[in-house]
Amino acid sequence: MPPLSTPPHPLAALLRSSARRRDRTACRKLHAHLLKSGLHKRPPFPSALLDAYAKSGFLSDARYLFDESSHRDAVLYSALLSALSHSDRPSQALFLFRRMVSVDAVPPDGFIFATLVKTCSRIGSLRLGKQAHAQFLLSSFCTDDVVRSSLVDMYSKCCAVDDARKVFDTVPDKNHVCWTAMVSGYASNGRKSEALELFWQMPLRDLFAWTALISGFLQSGDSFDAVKLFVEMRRNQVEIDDSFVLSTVVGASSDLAALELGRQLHGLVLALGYKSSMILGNALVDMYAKCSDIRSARAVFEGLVMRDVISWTTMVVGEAQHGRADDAMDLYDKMVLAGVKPNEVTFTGLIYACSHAGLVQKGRELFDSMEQDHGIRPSLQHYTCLLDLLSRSGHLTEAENVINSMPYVPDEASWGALLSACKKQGDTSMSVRMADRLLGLKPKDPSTYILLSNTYAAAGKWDSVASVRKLMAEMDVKKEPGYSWIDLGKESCLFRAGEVPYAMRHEIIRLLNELANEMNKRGYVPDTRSVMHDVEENEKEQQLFMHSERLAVAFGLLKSIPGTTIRVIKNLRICLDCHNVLKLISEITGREIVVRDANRFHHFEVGKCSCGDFW
Amino acid sequence: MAAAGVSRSAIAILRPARYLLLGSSSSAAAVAHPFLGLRVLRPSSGFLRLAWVGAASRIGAIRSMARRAGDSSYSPLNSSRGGSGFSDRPPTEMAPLFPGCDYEHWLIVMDKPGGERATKQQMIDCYVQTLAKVVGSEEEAKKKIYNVSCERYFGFGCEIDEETSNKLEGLPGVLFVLPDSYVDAENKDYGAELFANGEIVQRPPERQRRIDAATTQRNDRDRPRYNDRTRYVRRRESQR
Repeated sequence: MPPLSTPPHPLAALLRSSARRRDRTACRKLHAHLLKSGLHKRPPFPSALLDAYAKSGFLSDARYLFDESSHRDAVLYSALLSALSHSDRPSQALFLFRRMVSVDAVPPDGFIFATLVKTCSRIGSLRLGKQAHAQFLLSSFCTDDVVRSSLVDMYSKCCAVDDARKVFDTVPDKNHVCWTAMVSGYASNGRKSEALELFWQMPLRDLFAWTALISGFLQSGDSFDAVKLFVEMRRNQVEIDDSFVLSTVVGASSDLAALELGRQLHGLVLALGYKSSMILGNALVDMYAKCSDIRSARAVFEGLVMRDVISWTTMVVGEAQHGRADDAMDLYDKMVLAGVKPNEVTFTGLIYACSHAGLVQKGRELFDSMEQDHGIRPSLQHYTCLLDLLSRSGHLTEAENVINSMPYVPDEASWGALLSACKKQGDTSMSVRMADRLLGLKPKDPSTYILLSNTYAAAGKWDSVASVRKLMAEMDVKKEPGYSWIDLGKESCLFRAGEVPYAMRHEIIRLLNELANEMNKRGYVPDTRSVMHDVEENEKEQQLFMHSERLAVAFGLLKSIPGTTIRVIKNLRICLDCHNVLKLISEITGREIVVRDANRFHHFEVGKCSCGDFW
Repeated sequence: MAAAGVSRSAIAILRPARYLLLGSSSSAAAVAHPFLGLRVLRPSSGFLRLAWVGAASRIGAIRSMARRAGDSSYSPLNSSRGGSGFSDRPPTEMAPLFPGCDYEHWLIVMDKPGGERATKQQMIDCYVQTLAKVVGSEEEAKKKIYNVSCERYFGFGCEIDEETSNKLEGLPGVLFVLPDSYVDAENKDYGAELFANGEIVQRPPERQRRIDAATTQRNDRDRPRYNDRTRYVRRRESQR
């Protein structure tokens, strides 16, 4: 007959409840009471107290209690291990675990195995996870389904999905967590059809399961299907009790740059009552920034009740990419004043802002302050931004010094930054020198080859151009064609350079001609430097005329509601001529045009561009 | 499992080690940031490229030209959550968790060795044959196998190097290839049934007792449930 359990001491229950509530003050009070009444050494109090401290975030106190304890058994260990495993540095749990096994010779129980496997998941160590799996099979707890679920999750997170499935298949009575872990594993590793198949076999499809599926798809890059699944989920009338799924799908619309979808989701967030969620707020700021609507992004940001480093950084980077360098700097100052520590990405955004606004001195200062004031070591990306900053502003020699002295091996991107600036400055001899070095790196990106070929073309070195073209063909590198895309809510259209969709052909060409006449009246002359082919002048002009962003803007002018902003997305960098043309068009038509190109956003309004002609 | 346990572990599953916007701790922020692809440099390559590419993929007909899964600046597949993010980890973090784990001793778990309703001998033959495929001959295999199990799990322990162990993965019938470690550290014993020169060998009774104590399967029903109020009391009693 099993031993009769004595009723739990009320103090233990109080401790547990304050642990659940993460109530630090209550823990302290209870600790004091235990000390005074002499109960603090008597089980279950050592472990209950440690658990309470650990869950309330007093990790150092928990550790102290642990080290002071004379009797360290599995219960005490599991409280501390679990807390460490959930902390910022989960590897601490591993150190403690090794101590448990080797120094105190305490054999792990089912709960500790589960914690151990979860720690391995968190740090992404397949190697250690397999060690845990082996011992688990040999131990007394080898039939523990909770550990098995954790193993499924661990293998999935370490990208060994087939091993996850094998463990999954050994579980006789799969519970909900187990099913969800496996579906999530398939989804986040890109195994879409298997994820869906398993998903529809689940005995219960609740919000968690749907969320796991949707976020898995998003993680493996399939935002489009993630959104489709979300719609399907709504059709299945699954109640959204938790905001995580919403932040996932807002992330998907950021990824797709789908503003209309993002707006609908924003509406849903408000309607469901999640307005004050910081995580959702961050997601929305990012979404609006990426979908070219910086004003809405700023409005959401200002409306955030609580802001963390991600909120601030997202906004700073968004302002930077929309060319609002002053706003970005201003935000940074406010951020520091608010006591939020900037991180590496914040600085990347800031230096980027400087580079596109030409604020060289400020950029240098920020770069230095990164390490000096905030202890962040500049990464290769930061150096590349710095190079961009210096070279765009014409400090080419300084840039060359930086690239030669930086503690990282300059990669394709760094040389590319320098080269494109040289080319723009028109310094042909230096650009050829840079081009030769870049070519020596055997670049992989097709646009690098375009840059090289254009550099040599501008310098008139046609045989070098030929050799670059040959290399491109050999490496099977294709020049990415230019295309632009415009989304007008119910309609969207993709334009390729030089092609006009049949339906709107006449109207678009007529409109562009009309605009061209107006532009000529204002003194516009096509700038054929933007065309890099060795062809006749008037053919170059023709090519410019048919650049995809112009076609998209014309379409937008014809089809959109008068007075609204026209938003176009282009895959390549907008060329000089189109930039001028769009400025004029915005002036002539009185409309605001926003173009997102490969690098940044251009807001064209009354004849000016937000980038300050510095892109 | 109690509800709290379910939701907590469910959330652990759903929150991958790195995701776009979760986590407010600064270390998570550095990694899990929305502007992952912030490659700021060159005119025609773009940090916005992947998002841009995704936008184009909305148009069904033109999807094929848009997908660039290999763009390493953004792809979540390149995140540090995989098994690949180790270069900056200090070596001590990766030290083995259990004594006896030397990556020279491997626990090979098999799936239905010898077929359904196989006898013990048939299972053992299957183990030998499987190992023989990577070590060259059944003779060699018999020398390398140091323990077998035909009850609790189906598998064997063998002494081979890591490279050879990798060859076992994917062989028919092989479920898992795991690094073995001691069940009884004092006697440096890997557990299961000892196997030497093709035969099962009995352990001295004292050592067998130790192995049994460490590996007796605890029945689920007797095990305290995780949020069981009486947990601490039962544990105290089991310590005696």
